[in-house]
Amino acid sequence: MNTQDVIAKIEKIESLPTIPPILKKILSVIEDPRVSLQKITDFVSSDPTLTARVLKMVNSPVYGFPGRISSVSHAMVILGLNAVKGLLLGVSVFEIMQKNMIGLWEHSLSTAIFARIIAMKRQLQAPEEISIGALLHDIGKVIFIMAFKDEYMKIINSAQEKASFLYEIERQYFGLTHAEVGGIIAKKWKFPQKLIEPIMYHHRPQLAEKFQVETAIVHISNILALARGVGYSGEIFVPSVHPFAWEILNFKSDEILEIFKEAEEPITTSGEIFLSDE
Amino acid sequence: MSRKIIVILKNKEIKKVVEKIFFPLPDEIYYFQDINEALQIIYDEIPDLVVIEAVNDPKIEISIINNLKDDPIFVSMNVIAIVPPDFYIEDWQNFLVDDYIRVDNLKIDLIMRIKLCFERIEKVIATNPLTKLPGNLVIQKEIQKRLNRGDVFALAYADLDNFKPFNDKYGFSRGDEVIKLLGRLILNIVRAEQPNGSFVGHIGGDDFIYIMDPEKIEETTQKIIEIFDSVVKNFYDEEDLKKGYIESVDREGKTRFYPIMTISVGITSNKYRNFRHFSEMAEVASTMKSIAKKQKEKRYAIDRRRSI
Repeated sequence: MNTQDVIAKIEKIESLPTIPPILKKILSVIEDPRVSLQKITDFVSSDPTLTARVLKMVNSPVYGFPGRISSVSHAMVILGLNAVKGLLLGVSVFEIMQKNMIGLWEHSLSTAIFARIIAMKRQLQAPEEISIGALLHDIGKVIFIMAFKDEYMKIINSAQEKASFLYEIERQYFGLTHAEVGGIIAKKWKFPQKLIEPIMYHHRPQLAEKFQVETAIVHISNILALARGVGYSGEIFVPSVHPFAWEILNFKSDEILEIFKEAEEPITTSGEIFLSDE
Repeated sequence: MSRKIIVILKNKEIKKVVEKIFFPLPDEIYYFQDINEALQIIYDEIPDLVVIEAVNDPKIEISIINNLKDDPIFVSMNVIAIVPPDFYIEDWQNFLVDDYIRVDNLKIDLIMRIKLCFERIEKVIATNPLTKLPGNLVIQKEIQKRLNRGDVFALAYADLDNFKPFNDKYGFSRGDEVIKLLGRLILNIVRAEQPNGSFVGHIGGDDFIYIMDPEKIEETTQKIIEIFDSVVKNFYDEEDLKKGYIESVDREGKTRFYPIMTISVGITSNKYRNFRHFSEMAEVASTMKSIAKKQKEKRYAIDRRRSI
């Protein structure tokens, strides 16, 4: 497929769909007249689609400071309760994607959990922002599903049959990978560079320019989430960690084990909270 | 409220119709045949509304109106043109009116159009163009209204520290971004803490006020300060943020180091003391803000004085 055509089609996408269980939650949150900004913030930060939408809105020229806001809690207090409620109401549902999306959603969320833990261990200033980069790292897959549903399902299947990495087949077929697609969308929606780089280079952290630590953390968190086996991202293998990321993060011998241990509880509970029928 | 309306009509038939429509209005209405006669009063007193007949080749009249409207002082003066039934124009830049009405619709539409014009201009003038928050006039009215009603409330006056060097270094458009940000933060935090009966206004520049119940204002202020501190970092360049200051030249031409922007807030309330006039109260809040700026640990100061 011609890469320019692929990009043209991708750039037309303005909003991302979510999965029915999330929509149920959205409605219950919106209908509660006494819901606090904090509660909506927690809810939004647990979902890649909602997070992307909120960041797109707050970085749009309407609010007047494109490319500045990379944190959901900041975005919420700038947009205000009513605007966010309105935004949540406009979220669409894709029934067809339920099976794949739930797996991807769980994978994204657990990547975000790993990223937050690592960011805290490295005492970085804004762990929330890095975990958002991690939450959104696979947003390009959602974009692919929306723009090329049938083709993309075939690609996922063929990655499994050929036993190769998804991003390799993506590049052969579309001329670019989901990471690059995510980066293109993040740029188009005027996300801050701090988010664009980790999304765009989560498979090739050595290419990051300004936010190398952030990108390395998302890169390694994605691999840890795959290794832990939470959710389903379309990938059947655990890729190896790029030496650049090892170098920059400089883990001690037992640290990875500690990270796994610390992630266990949030990984198991986060799924329960947001996918239960309560 | 009585308004001053200037009506400029050449055609006697149209004048009869218009007079009939205007007859029940409480406003001061002055009729003229020629715009030149009307100019004196227009320049002297700036009417609220000019209705001008542009049915028969109105070029001269309109060019005079255009000259007037070109001066910003006339921005709040509405001009409605009465036009022929088949009126059509594409180039509004050369026809500086606020609205038009076709001569055959006068009876049905004229009064409505006039009211709509007044409403529209009020909204535009009342809000700060940058933040779209209520501006000075509305703020004064709001405070006075609450004082007259005998409401008990707290008034906070907030502005930024080290805004000017930021503006000088990064340019006014990034400075505007920060002002917009501050407006949104204050508005949303105040509303989240007190959905009913609160008020947020933008005096101008980096000066904002908010009104809340006295019990809620301190905690809300702490939140505003705290959240602003963490969001404002996104508006600095990475290098400056790492250093923790920006370099800028002061009025004497010397290079100085300015820390990252913060907010200072002064708070007063009529809970324990009396205010009669809004300006009295605003002055105290402003004084408290200066005290806040001198403090080291806290960036807000609350007026604790009591009337005897």
